Amino acid sequence: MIVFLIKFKAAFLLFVILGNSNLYALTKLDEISSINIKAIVPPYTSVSVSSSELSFEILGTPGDYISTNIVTLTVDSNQSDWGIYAQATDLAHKDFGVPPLPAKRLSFSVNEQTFKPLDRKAIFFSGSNKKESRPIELKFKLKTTWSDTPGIYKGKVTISFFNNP
Amino acid sequence: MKSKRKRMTSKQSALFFIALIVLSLNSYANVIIYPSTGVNINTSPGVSGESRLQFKPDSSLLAPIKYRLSSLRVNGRDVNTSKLTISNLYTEGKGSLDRFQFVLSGKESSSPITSTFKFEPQWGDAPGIYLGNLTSDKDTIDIPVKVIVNPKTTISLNPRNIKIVTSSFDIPKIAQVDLIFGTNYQNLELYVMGENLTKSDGEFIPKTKLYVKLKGNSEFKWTDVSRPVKIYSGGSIAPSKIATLEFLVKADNLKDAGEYLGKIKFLVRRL
Repeated sequence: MIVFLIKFKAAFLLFVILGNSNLYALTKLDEISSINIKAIVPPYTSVSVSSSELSFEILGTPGDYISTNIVTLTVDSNQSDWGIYAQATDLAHKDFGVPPLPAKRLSFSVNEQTFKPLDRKAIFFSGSNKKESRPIELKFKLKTTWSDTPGIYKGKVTISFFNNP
Repeated sequence: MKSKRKRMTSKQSALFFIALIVLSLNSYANVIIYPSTGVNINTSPGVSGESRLQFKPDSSLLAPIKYRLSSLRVNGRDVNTSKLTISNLYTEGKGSLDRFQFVLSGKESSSPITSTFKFEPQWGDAPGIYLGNLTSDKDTIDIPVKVIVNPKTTISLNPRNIKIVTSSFDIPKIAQVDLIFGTNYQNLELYVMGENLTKSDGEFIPKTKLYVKLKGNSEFKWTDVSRPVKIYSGGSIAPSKIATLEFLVKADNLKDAGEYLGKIKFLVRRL
């Protein structure tokens, strides 16, 4: 009985080995050719701003006034390194001939940090595709003086994106 | 009168006997065939394989000798014997050996004659060893025939390099490749498989994002090539365009911009 069992085991083992080798032969794939592939991931950048309008309500004595709304900026980019710049124009009075409020009196703060002037193009935030993108909070400040004519002033703050700044 | 008739009869008998001896000599005439191993051809589809044999009769040979291929078999199957041809001084061009063809005319006076045997396999001819025998219309020896038809698979891809801008299934950007394929295997499958596409800084697009589809085949949906994808299954086929493959690389907008390089491999499985 034992001899029979040993023989049976040996036969079974042989069967398994043969079966596997046949399976290998049946499933063997041979490479006969290939083509080269170049995939191009194009540059992609999305800059979204929470508000397209910024306003200051200056109702008291001259001084520093913070904008009534906080602007949230979100940048998504697949480029290696990038930077965000901001620059303001002078704020022009609605009536012709009234002197404008110069851009240098506008400043801004990024994520509750100190205020920086906006009269020249300045990088205020940089990132890379290795870092997770988070919303950037911008606060704007305008300085007024006694010599400013009352009225409504309008201007523009331009936010630009650069790859590899 | 009787004795005269007897003499005639004995003369006729003698002549008949002499004629018989001459005929017998002819029928057992010695022909040396070189090489003695017979016809040996090694070939593959698209290649004309040939083998030469020299037939050297002795001077006593006065009758022509013809040969034909009595049988040809491969993998246990009979093959059309006209596939083997012969050319020599006496054939007009190539003569197929499914019928008797001259190898000697009987007027050579021991001069050797060379015959060239040819086998031009088609793509439909199975690879293997074809064995047969050339048999004579006289009593000369049979000549063994051995033709080896090698397995052959040919693939041509146009273009050999493709450039794809990554996209999505909604607005796919596709690269096309024409596949020209031929094989003499009787049962074979053709697969396509991709590899990761890598950028110089080590960043990569996994092969699961590389997809293939057969153009004009609505049943064949976009399939990723991270594993072998079957694109052809069948028997022997002469080289011809069997498909146009379409490739797509899927990536989202925030995948690192740049160029990713890799390969798409073509694989066969012989069944």
